[in-house]
Amino acid sequence: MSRESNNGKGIVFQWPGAYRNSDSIRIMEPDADHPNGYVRIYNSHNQPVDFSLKPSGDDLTHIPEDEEGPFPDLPIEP
Amino acid sequence: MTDLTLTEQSDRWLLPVAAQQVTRCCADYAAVLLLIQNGIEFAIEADFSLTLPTGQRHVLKPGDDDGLALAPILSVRRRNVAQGVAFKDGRLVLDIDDGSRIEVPAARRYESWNLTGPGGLLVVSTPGGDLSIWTARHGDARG
Repeated sequence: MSRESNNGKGIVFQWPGAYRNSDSIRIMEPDADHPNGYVRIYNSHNQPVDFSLKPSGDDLTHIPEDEEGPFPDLPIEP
Repeated sequence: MTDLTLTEQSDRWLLPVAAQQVTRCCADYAAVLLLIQNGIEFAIEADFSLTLPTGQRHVLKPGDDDGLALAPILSVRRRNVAQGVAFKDGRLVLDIDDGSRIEVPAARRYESWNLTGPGGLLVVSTPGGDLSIWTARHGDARG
């Protein structure tokens, strides 16, 4: 399921029933440092993860939308 | 049912955490997490300050390797929040009932903090100093 923020600056895709940020992908609108927007991916433990789906620092868990390479699989268990 | 209403004022949002106890403090990989009695949780990812009632000020860095340096935040465990404010420029201020204060500035490049709660409530301090808000959906108890 997806849900857009009140001000339209982001959209969350999350498995129904998931808690907090867990099992979600959130796509955010562009800002000064992310001219094409960025993506945050959360694992099942409510942790932001990097492009390889490992918990990491801020610089690696704010994934530019124009990141090249294969996008990771959605970390959601059906 | 818990009231999870955010109250808007000219430059800020009052968060529904007043008179609620901090029931959990923990350090995640790159964040400090504070769980509040009513199910709201703060994830603080940027460097932030904790000012104790004595006036002593600690700057805590959730992204650093030294986890023990985050220990002062444990002082708010079991305390009640007096007031929680999310400023529209992205700052977060949590006043604790013992006189402590947690202040999280907005960050230029990354999200500095977020709040999650029941019903899909989500507030994010976005890069550059702004807020994105997903209000709670009535009747959805999901955390």
